[in-house]
Amino acid sequence: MNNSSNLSTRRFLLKIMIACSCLCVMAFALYMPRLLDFLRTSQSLNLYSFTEMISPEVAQRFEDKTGISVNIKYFQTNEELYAKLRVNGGEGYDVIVASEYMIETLKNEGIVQKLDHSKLSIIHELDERLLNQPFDPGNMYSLPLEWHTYGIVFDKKLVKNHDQISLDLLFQSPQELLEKGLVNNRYKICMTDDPKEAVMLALLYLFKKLKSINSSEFADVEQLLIRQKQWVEAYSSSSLQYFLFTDIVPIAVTSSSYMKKIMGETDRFGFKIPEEGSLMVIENLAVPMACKKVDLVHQFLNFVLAEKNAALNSEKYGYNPTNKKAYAAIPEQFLRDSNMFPDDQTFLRLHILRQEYPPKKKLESIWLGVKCA
Amino acid sequence: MVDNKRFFIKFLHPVFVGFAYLFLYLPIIIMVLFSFNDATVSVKWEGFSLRWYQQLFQTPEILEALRSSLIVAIATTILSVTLGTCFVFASKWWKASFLFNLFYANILLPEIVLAIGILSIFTFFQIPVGYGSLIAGHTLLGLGFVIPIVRARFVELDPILTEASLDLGATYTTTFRKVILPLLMPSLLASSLLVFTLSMDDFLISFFCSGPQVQTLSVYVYSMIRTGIDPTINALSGIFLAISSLLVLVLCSLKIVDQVISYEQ
Repeated sequence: MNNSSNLSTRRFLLKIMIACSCLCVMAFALYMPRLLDFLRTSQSLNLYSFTEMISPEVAQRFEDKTGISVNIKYFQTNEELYAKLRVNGGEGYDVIVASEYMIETLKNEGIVQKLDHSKLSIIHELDERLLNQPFDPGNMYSLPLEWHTYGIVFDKKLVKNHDQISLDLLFQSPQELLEKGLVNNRYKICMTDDPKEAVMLALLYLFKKLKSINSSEFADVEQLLIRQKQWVEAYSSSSLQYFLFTDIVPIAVTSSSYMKKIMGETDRFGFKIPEEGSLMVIENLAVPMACKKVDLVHQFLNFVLAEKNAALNSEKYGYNPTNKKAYAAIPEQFLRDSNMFPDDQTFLRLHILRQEYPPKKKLESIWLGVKCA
Repeated sequence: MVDNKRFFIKFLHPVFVGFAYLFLYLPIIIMVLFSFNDATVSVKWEGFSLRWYQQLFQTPEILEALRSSLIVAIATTILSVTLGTCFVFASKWWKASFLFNLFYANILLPEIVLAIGILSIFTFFQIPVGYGSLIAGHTLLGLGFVIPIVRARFVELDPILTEASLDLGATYTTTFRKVILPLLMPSLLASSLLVFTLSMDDFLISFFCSGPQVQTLSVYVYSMIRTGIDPTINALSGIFLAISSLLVLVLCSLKIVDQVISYEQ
């Protein structure tokens, strides 16, 4: 009796020991990165960015020059970045790339840290038009990495007057435009799938302003977007080429950088910033609050924005660089085109996305209304 | 009546089956076909080219993501199958079959709930997200598939075989190695392939549980959507398809060899 009780106690203890060792192994495996970080002597930077923004070649150049390796990981939307940074405060990431309105959100929520301008000599080489923007006055938290415009891409055979491109092409019924003799055929369009961009374009079309919008004006915007659904073939920004090249849609909203890709394939399409004005996107570099490698990060910011590297990124991905010296690298045909590379006059007609307009809840309710209509 | 039946068997049946297979394989065929297309946008055929395969091997980001995915998928498969099999055995000894029901919840829960839950645990215990967290998350997902498959096979095993082996003097280890394991092998192979595919394919857990050091192929491909996916991804899928087809062929040929040997005996 005593022997069998001892045996069962021993078996029970054995089971506990097995369970404990399994837990220890699991904990060791899970916490190992922290341990490795502690022991690691070589320096590295973790960059979290959109795809096609910073070339791995630039990261390699940085490593060759400084011995600091740059580990790039990618996300698709600003909202994805926000979700990740909100959960762990950006721990592990040293530099992030975000659009202007997201910089504003991250700044207001204390997720990004202030930059040390005394360590950022590159700031004097950047285009003044892109600095000191309302989303980050004095560029205290961010530096512009690249910029591009939003416009209308159109089939040259469809639109009669290529010099007079307005938001009518998006928001007025194709039947009405056909009757007015502005287009040669009825057509369908491809609208942006970003609610912020869609609502802002509708605001520009209806009221030519983006601020101080009252409830009835927002209701008009919603009605306009619901009406527009009749001639929208798809809400898509990424698969635009498929719709255009297969002649499913001849009119769409797209960015100047995406347009460069289209122009690389065919000259059937034109690209214009509409008369009413349009949007401009500035993608920025910022540093999460959790980052401790402040000196390395500033060194990296100076490097990535330097003339040669900015030119390489621009050549490879089609965006406009922010370093003025790198403008020389932009092909002549794009540099002279104020729709792709806006001159000062066109610049005034471009609006930047902001966190507060339209207010988040209003935006959600409009977009839900449009999608569910 | 008989004529109708004959007509159905002779004509309609093959047509239906043909359509089902076409529906299943047409997207894959087109995807592979366009990986050899000499055009940036895969909308029309512009001639045969291997440029996307060449470009694939010159794009370090894709290869890095592929490497991460393979590491995670292989580790997940090994862990899920080992832990799942251990769990099936342990639950038999403990006579605790109710534990299985808990694992079905794993399959029934929306993956987003599972992903956010896993991330919350990691954040709560301050576990750094990276390979470890990713493998742990995928293993949890994989267990939900391994356990039901292995258990289904395990309950079908004839206990007489085990008893006979033990009666004839084999140890527990030998009985496990020579009797139980070969009988479980089909379910282990099937669940391994399933978990490997699930892990390679998974996006939600990979997105939430991967840190700055790791990015799987699914997350990378998704992040490419913003700027448009180029045919390099078709090329990558083509290679994947070739490798998985080869694996299936190897498995089939092993089965055939096995059948031939047993027939000759």
